[in-house]
Amino acid sequence: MQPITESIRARINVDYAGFSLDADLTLPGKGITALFGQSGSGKTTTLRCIAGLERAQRAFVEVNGQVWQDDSRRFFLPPHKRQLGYVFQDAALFPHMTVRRNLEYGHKRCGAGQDRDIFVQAVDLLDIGHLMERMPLKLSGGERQRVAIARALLTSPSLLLLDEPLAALDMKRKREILPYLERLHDSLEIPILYVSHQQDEVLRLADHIVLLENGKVAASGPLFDVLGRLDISARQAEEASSVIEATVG
Amino acid sequence: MDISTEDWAAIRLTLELAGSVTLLLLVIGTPIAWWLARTRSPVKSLVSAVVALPLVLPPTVLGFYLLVLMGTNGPVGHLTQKLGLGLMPFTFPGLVIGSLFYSMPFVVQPLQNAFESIGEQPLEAASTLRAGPLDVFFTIVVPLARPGFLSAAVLGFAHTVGEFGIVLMLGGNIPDKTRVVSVQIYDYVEAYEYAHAHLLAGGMMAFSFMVLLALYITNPSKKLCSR
Repeated sequence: MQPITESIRARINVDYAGFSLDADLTLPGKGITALFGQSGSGKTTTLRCIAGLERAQRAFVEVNGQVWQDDSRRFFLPPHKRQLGYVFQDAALFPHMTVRRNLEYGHKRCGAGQDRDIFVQAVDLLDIGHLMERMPLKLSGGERQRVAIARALLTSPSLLLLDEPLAALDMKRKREILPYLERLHDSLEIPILYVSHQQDEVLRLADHIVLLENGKVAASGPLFDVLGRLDISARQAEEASSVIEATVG
Repeated sequence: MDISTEDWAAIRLTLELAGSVTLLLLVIGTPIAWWLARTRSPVKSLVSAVVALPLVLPPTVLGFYLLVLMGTNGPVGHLTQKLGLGLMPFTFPGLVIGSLFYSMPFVVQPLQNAFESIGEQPLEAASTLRAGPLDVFFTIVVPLARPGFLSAAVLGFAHTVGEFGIVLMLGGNIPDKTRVVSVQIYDYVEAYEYAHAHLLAGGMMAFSFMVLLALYITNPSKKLCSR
């Protein structure tokens, strides 16, 4: 097994009435890491805390050697100063802007605004060139999500956060967008954190998995190691599946 | 019957008053409405109640207190005299100040509703796209709340045009300075000049109706001033 360059550190403590999260994560700086668990397990909260959208009571977040939050020093970088891309469950495109202006919104503000190459690449990667002058309301769910991913990529993030990007889509749309996520995986250098409660998505996309249960990390490691462990598979048995690592060639 | 020069002066004065009050209220009311829409502070109810007070108070009460505050012996009166501004009551600026309080809820509430209906998500999305708070406000909130700004401006304007009690208390009845249309109508009625009164009152009716009609046509699904 190749050594993993560990470049994301996140220690997050949240205590709300009826919900607590206590996660200490060290994640690889490459590939897709799935934050996996049932609803209420704290996966979205973890993601939102890493982005700074939610302010954990006590947290330490470091990405690529850059500290984003360190409450022991009372340091909190607001989300707009964190070099990240975030894709929301239902895309969250700005309804008053065309697709093009949605894409340009972050692109212009990240200092790479003049870089047309990146723009063209992102548009090609997500295959949305034909949608540029449309308004978000006139797009299908899958198209909207592709635009949202491209919009996030155009801020030149050092970390891409995806919050259940397929959850709002039906089976057909899901199948339509999964190949794009795989392309993302193959063509991007940056790490991706992917929140999901769907085992099939995780199996198809993730390299690394963090299993969350009731606000605690139940397991964390390379996908095949974690899902191969019998005790874990049994707990997630509502959707039984097996993982076979193989090379076809 | 023609509209007399005095009537024209009253109409012009009314429009000037309503125009400046509306502009000022959009500037003052926007941050208040934004704060009310976003805050979880326990003071929120208190501020909401103060802002809404003119909705239930007789305008004469509001006018009376402002008169006392801004008069020769009032604290505000002392201040304005010291600053060399003279006394506010029975002047146009005094009327503007009174109207600001009086029409405040009609501007703040539609704005607050509009801000609340935008929700958290577009703001969060913008902040993950490197936009700071002010940037988010002007590029996301203002365009998305445009119908709210329109309602606020129209209601603030129309409500100021329609005020009477506060003008009488605070402005007196000085031609060209503080005699607005509603006071002019009152004068005509006092003097049994019903024909003149009809002309102005009818004009006010038509004006108010047109304004509201236009608002509902452009903005059919919105409640104007739901609380």
